[in-house]
Amino acid sequence: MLILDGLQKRYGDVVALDACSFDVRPGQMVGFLGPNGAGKTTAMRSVFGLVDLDTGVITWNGKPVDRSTWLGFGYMPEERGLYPRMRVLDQVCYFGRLHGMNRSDATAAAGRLLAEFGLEDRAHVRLQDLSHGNQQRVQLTVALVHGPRVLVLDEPFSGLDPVAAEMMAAVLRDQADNGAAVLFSSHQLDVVEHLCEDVVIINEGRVVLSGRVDALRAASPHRYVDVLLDGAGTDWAEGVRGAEIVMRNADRVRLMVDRDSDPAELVALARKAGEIVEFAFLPPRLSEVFREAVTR
Amino acid sequence: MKPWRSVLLVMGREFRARKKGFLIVSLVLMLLAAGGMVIADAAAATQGRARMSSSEADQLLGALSVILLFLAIVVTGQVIMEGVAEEKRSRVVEVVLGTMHPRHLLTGKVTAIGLLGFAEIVLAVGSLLVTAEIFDVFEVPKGTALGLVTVAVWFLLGFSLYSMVYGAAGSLVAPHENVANAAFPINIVLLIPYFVTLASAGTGDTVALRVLSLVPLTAPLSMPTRMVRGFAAPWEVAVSMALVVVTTYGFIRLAGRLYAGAVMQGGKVRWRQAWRSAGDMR
Repeated sequence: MLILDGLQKRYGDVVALDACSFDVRPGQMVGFLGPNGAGKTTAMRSVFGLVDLDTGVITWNGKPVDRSTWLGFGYMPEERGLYPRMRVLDQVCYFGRLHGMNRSDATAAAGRLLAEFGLEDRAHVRLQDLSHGNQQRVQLTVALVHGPRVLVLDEPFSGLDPVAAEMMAAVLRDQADNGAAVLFSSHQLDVVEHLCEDVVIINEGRVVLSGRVDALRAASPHRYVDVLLDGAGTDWAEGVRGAEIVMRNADRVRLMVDRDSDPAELVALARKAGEIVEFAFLPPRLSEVFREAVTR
Repeated sequence: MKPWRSVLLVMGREFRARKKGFLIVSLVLMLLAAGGMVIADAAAATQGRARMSSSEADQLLGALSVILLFLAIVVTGQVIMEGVAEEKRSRVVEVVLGTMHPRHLLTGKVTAIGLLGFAEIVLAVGSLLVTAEIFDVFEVPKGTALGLVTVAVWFLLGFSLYSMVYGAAGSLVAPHENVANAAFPINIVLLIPYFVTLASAGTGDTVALRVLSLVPLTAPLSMPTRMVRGFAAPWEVAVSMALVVVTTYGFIRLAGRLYAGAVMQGGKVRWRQAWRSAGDMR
């Protein structure tokens, strides 16, 4: 298990990490969320010793991480970077060897992954001659080539088109299913909601919420009510006591109510206003949980 | 993984990346050196051959070694800085540093580029000597052959030291900054022993020359002349060499630490800032 325990880091007056603690188990995929500047990148860098922490310790299977542990980790930094003039296969192979593989194993693994990502015919092209999307795939290949037990990815979905994002999601899922501990940060909360069972939300360097996505949604003090009435507009919703209108659009309205509200009462109110086409009484979406957590 | 394996992997990558450029530069330098000797031979055929006395040859060797070493260090230094800055610029360094200590990355990189630069000089000088021998352009007195060995040893020492100095400086260059600006202060430091040593070519040993030959950063340019011309006492040579070796190691450590501190920050980094932010990076 990867444990980040009490990480503390200040840059001058800015607190980047403030007693930040959480863990990632093998086979678990954790979405790491937080507004810009919350400390996500600092926390992820510190897993690789790239940040000189003021206090705090990071352990893998009970032992503090060190250079030999890192060889078994895979990392995709926020600011992507590879050798622009190096050929794709050479590049992936080089990083495999830096992680301790011998030449033939590294070449075999690199070839297999490149084929898997549809890059086999680009293997001998210089990185700088690839499209942006393909460069991203090479970056992912570099993070995976040595079969890491821990995978840390900083914003892996940023800048990807929907097809590429889907592929990335499938790869990460696959890694977790094969026993890797996967930690990735993202601003695309819809992606995270569908992809991860667990999330960690940090704000101003502190973990403000963490756990199962479903449990976090259920634990919220609020419920959301989606109602679509046939041609009745949304003005009726203003009369609902204890409800806050979150969104209104033509005949569709989304209300925020207390967790204890009775759905039957709400249905009755809606029915009085018009014919119900759609009605849903749901816990908040992950994005709403996120917003509640970081604006608290 | 053992540090030496990381260093070797880094060196291997550098060699592969620079193979083509190295071959072209070496070929051009060798042709220029050999061509120069052929022309000198043609000139000697019409004007008669010059025969040097042993002391004249030593003087010439001393002066030439200063000029050659100075040029070689400055030119290779630029390439080293560019190489170090390039890795920071492309941000690839963040992935690489997840696998090895910054010191080992720098050592491998700087050693590889330094060796290639050194090999270029050796090939050029070798080509010059061989052509001169074939055409019998000049005759080297016996004592001077030993002087050549001295110069070669100091060449290696000076090259190692300054490779690391330029490597340290390269780690501070901002992504879009011109490395020439950052190289300037180092080149200025090199100019002092360059001029003092050249100025002493016609005179004997001076206090300034003696001091410079003991200070690590200037010794590689100033000590060879004093040795070749028999001015240096054995203890001076020993002390000077030891200081250069220790200083070189110090610069590896310093550069590694500065690199670690500078690389994780985007823009231009000041020495003090880099030093502090590196802390006791593992």
